[in-house]
Amino acid sequence: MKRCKLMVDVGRRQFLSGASMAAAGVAAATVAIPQGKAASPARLSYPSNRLANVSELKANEPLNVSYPDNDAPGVLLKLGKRVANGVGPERDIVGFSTTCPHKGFPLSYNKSDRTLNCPGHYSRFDCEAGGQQIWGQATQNLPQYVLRVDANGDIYAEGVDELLYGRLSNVL
Amino acid sequence: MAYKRQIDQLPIVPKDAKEFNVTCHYCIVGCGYKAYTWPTNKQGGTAPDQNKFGVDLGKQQPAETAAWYSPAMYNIVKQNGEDVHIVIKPDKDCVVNSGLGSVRGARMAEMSYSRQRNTQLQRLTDPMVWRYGQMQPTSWDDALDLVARITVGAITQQGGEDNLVVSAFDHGGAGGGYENTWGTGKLYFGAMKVKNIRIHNRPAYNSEVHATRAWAS
Repeated sequence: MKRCKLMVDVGRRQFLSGASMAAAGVAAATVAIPQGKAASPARLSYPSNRLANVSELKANEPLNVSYPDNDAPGVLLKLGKRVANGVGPERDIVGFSTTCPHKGFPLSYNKSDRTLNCPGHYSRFDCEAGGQQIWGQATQNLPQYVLRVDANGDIYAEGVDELLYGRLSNVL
Repeated sequence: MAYKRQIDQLPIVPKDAKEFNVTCHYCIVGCGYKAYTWPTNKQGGTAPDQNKFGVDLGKQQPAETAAWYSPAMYNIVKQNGEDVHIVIKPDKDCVVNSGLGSVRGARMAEMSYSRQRNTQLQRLTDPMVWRYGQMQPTSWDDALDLVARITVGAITQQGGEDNLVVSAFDHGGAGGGYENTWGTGKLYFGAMKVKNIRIHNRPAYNSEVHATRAWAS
């Protein structure tokens, strides 16, 4: 929008004196968006990576994956019961980072209570509850993948909901 | 569902950010932290010469790295009246904690007052008194007057010093604890020599921990 050249708020005295402050001589500069320069997005753009197919998952057997790149290990889990954020035909497939958000140690899966547990300082995360930290030192619940299953049963990861350990941007 | 911050990147601490050695403001252990502050219009970069840690932040860092901080360790706060970015992260060179942080201390930044990021906005600004079925703010004069009159009344009208029972805070050294407890100590132990006093979260004026355990007030 251009600068307003009307003398609406100049004040009566100045108006009557004929002083024309803003009207004449001031170039009306319109701000043009520079051509050829993309606006930087407000949020990260996540890659959509195919991790596996639904048919490859067995109930309660973690499948090792990595997302959004090979330096960010994680697992896909078919929990066998419907959970919030679960995908797939039974809404029971979830995916989590397996790098502990406390000090970056690798988590291991405990089948009997469906938790991911850390050998470093013993933090524990509940896979059936969105990675809720049951106990531990981490300042986050476990980062979980945003998953999508297509018509062929292919599982894509398309986002992460917390900052991964060891990187200040989830997409490097 | 589990709470998730939906934060997927953080500003990088620039090489020339101000650096402070600070102590955790919670318990008496006193873990060491590094606090970094820098102006809101500046940021660090991933190149080793552009960030405080001197490493390539375009790469995944290993376990126990000093070159990472979680969203809980970042905020925007006021410093000398100006808004600044702040990162408070455990200091690996501190002999007390060697870079470890508890789930409480590591969240010091997030648990700071920030108008911009809407954290910890609920400040206690006035004395509070339970009136008409709820906590209500009041003046210092009113609050102190109430305490004084109840104290005197318990002693003179209800049969002596045995009838005065005090429930006070004493939460250890951090967060103004020394100052607070100096005040209650001077009044109740020094001046009044009160007989019955307990800390608000325990049955007596005792430690929070058992037997031979060290490190808790």
